[in-house]
Amino acid sequence: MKSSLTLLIALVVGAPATAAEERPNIIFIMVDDMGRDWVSCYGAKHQTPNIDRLAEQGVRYETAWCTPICTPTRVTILTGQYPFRHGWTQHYDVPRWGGDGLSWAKFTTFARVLRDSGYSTAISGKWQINDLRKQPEALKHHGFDEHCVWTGAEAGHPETEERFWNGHIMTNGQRSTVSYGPDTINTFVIDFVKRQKRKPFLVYYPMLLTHGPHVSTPLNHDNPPEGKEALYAGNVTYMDRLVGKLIQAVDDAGLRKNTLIVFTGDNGSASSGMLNKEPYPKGKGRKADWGVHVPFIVRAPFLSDGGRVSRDLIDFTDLYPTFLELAKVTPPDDLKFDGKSFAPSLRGSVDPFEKRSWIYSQLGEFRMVRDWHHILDSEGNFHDLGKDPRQEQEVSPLDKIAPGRRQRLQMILDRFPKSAEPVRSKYSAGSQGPAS
Amino acid sequence: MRILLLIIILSVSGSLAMAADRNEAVLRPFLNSYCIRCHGPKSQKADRRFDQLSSKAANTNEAELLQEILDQLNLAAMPPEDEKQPSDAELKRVVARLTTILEKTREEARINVGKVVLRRLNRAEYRNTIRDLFRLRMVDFDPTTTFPADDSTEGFDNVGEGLVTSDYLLRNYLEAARKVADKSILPGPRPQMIHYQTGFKTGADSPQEVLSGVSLDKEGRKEAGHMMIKFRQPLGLPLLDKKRGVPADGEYVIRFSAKAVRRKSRYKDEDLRYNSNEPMRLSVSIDSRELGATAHRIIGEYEIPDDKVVEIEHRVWLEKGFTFHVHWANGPNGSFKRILRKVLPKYNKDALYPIRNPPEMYVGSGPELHVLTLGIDGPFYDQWPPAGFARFFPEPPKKPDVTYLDESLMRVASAAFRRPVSSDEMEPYLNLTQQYFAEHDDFWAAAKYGVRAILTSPNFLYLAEGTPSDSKVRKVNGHELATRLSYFLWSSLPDDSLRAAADRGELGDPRVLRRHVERMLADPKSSALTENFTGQWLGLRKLGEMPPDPETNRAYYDENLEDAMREETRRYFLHILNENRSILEFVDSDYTFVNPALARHYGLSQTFLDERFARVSLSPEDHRGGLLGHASILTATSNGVESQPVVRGVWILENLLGTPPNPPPPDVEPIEPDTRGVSTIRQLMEKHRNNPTCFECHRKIDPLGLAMENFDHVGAWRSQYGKRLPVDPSGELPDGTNIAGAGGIKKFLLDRPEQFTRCLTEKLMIYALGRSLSFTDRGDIDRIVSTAPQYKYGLREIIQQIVASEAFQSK
Repeated sequence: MKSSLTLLIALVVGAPATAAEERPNIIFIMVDDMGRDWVSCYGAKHQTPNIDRLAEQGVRYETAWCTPICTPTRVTILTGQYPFRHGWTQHYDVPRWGGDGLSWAKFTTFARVLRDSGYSTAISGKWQINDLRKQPEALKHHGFDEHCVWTGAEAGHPETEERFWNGHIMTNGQRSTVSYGPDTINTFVIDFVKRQKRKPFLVYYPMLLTHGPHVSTPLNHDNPPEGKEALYAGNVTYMDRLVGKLIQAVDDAGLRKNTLIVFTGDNGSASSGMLNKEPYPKGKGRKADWGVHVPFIVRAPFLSDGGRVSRDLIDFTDLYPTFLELAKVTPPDDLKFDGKSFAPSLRGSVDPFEKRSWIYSQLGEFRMVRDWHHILDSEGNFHDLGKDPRQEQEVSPLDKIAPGRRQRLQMILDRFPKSAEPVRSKYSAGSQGPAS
Repeated sequence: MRILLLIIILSVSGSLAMAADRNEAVLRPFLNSYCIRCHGPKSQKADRRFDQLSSKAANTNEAELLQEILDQLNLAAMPPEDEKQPSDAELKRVVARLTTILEKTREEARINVGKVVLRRLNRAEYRNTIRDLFRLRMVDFDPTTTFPADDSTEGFDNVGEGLVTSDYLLRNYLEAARKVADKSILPGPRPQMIHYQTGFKTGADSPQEVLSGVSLDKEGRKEAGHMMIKFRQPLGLPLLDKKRGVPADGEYVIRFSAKAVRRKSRYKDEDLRYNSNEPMRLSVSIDSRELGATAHRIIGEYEIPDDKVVEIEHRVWLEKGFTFHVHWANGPNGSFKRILRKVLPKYNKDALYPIRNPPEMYVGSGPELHVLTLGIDGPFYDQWPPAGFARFFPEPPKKPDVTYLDESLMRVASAAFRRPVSSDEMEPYLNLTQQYFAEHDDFWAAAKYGVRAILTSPNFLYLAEGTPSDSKVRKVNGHELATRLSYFLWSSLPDDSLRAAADRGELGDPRVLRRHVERMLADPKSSALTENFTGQWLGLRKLGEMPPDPETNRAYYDENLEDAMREETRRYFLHILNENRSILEFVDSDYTFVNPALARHYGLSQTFLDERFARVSLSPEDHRGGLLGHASILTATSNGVESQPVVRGVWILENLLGTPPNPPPPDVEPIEPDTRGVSTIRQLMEKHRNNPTCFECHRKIDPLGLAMENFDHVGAWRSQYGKRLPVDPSGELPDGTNIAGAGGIKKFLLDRPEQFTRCLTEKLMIYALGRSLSFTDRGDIDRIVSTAPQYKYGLREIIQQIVASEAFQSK
């Protein structure tokens, strides 16, 4: 009697609500320093079977923009604001160079909003926008229940330089040296995912791969290849493997149907790859389309069927409002979004009024904007990216439509305000610092 | 003996001379008293002069003149009312005398005057003859497009006198014969069928590209699985267009599926120039790249439901080289460019005015007509080889030889010349073709060559009738009669049944002839009679030459009133013909045929179930009834801006009264009267009429035209001009009758029904005979007119009478 009553109660309590009432889990995977020229389903020569499989199961976006370098990209994602608004217009390595880092008083990240609404949240990978030695509670303040991160190279602590072999990893406050950083981080994510039973979860997974230094991976450790490009290629392969492992774990745990997985990169590739059988320029740090035009794959079985390719325009200010919409959270009144949720696009909406007609990026005082075919930047460069993806040619004077398109893009560009004051006097346009 | 003969001769010639003297005795003083002053040596009004006229009617001209005098006296049109009038007794005597003179003259002339008429086929007849000879569908194949237009004589373009053959026309005949031979001589197996289809491709190997929800492939919107018609552009099958159309003449099936999306959208109707309350309609057109815009023809229109896919099949005969397209018939009007430049910025702040914003910003937000699949199959045939080929070249042997060639060409010639042909007659044609065959060793090329020779023979191109063997026996033979009959009723050559009757010599029996006339009138081919006769008798071919201003006559264009008007008159004539109704119903009746648009135009109160034409009853308040109420005629007699009383008056005189006025004299000075203070057209015309030379004719024309002023330039009823000027439809005819409005004219005509009967009979005669009438035909006409009341003026019966008349059966 009692056991069957317990069973009954357990069944009632433990019975999962229908997918429609449930809020989806969110896994946001961001590769470090890799553009489309290394992902085979985008037309690259290098094979990335797990990422390709993800694209077959979801929607592959052809035209997504981040910023040319990691720091502005990450702050943009976390705040949902453009660099001119949040002030982080340049690369700034906080642990290495000091400074206040990202202020949780000033900025509310999407993680915090989701956690406050009932999500379990975790971050694994690279943070680098707060000094975790000086601000060990930073990640909690920003909204992450758990973390497993490489702290970034902290000035005066040489052991923190390593992130790959003998990597310096901090897991929920505990620092240790691990055999191979990316593995530890990946294992942590899978474990976190498996542990979540009652609340929907958010995983922010800014991967360490494929950032430099480009060394061997556990796959080719015994016989490492020679040369930067080969090593980089090895990193891409291993990264693809890790992504595959995570997706497999999600599927094995029965979470596939109700989990949003976004896969993207934080800026262009660190090493020049091949796209559509032609060499593609190295993108990292570059003030051009190839600096910011990253892979962007979204698997959301509760919203869209697989195997779709979309040319809808997306930039990284769109992630925050999208997460909130899918999590059914009304944003607080004081939150200012620069972007637009791409949930309608995921649902297959054909209405252009629900989607974007331009996307924007910025590095320092350099600004650029594009639509489906043309790009215009603050230095006056204007190109037809369909015909001239590497921005090498003038638009033909015989093209009668292009001047109008240029005018429209100029109108958009002119709308944006001057950049906000940088966080610190040291952090200003022109200071790039060594790559971290 | 001889003295007896002499006495007889003397007495006969004496009586003749006395008769002649008696004629002169009656006629001469009358002419001197009442006519010579205006029609004599001092003055020749209307170019007529009577002082040198003898009552002997020595030649046809004199006879015509005497006939004219008689007609004018009968109409009481002469002498003019302000001149000295003869007494009733005098008038009666002269009229009786003239009538007798003319009857006698007719008798004599019939014997003496040769009337073999050589008249060629006009354009329409050529087309119809080819159609029936080779059983071709002539809807999109027309070898006569470059033929020069035929001149009209007496208002009809099938009258021999006016049908000239120039060397330009001859060259056209040669070219047309070539085209016809190519089209109809089709040896060889049935053409292979084509099956072109474009549709929604799903498959693991072709991931959909989704741009704003519309599937595209790299060729853009036209051949994607899910096509979208932007506005009123045509959408077709690129493969079909690339192959230059369908490979052979035949029947094809066009299939497509479509769906209307977002019929109502965020955009306002006036911005899109579109009516979102109407269901979307898709029209199918056929086109020929070679022939260009002239070949474009819409063959069907379909309503497409909202958000639901509808599948449609449309069967159509296509000539070789034609393709088809589908169009969004009532889509947003105007260019896509305008929407992107001027409309989009009103709705989207990221769009810039007035540049051409990216189409991706619009597609998926406005109304769209999606065509999901589009395909064509064919050709299909009821029989192969086609009937027109098989009848002349039955079961061709594997290696056809000269004998087969000769036999086949004889068959063609017999049909084309509309009579049996002899081998002697055909020898030159056969020799020519055999020579060609020998030189080129290509049987079918030689066959075509032979057919071309036959089609350019005068025996084909002309309705040739042989010279009568005997000056007394002037009757046409059976084949000639059959030909006259079929060109009268069908504007084409006799069909197999009529031809067989002619071959068997049966057409001499009036009952057999009558039956054939009935049969032919019931045949759909008699639509040629309706089209060609009414088009010219009523001047309907002019309808559309001066269309009204689109800005102020929206209904004319939006509701296709012009087509509706034509259809009303066509149906009216057809009804009177088919039911053998009295021709007086052309003058006035209590019914007509309208569709809802036309009913609205006329202000009729009937309700309709659907858009089709229906018969409606008319009440006197409707002001319609008879031809004078038909908008087609009222519009054709206006100039698109205002009604024209003179044109209408002349129309009534020509087509209802049968007394056309003389053309204006060539030596008239342009008039510049003082027209100050004039406000209505009536007053304006009066100022012009004060000149006596003009007044002569205009006193007959103007009252009739002014009585019609209640109908405006598109035939709508008005009781006043503009805001304040009332219409005054009263008038006085030359004989003193007062008329008020169209009703007055109708009453005038109905009071003397023989006048209209004569007018219509004459017109039908001219059309039937293909020549102008001379006074020798008066006997037949008089007979038909006088017997018309016996069969209640039935139109069908009048036609029967014409066919049975001496004029129709003599040459």
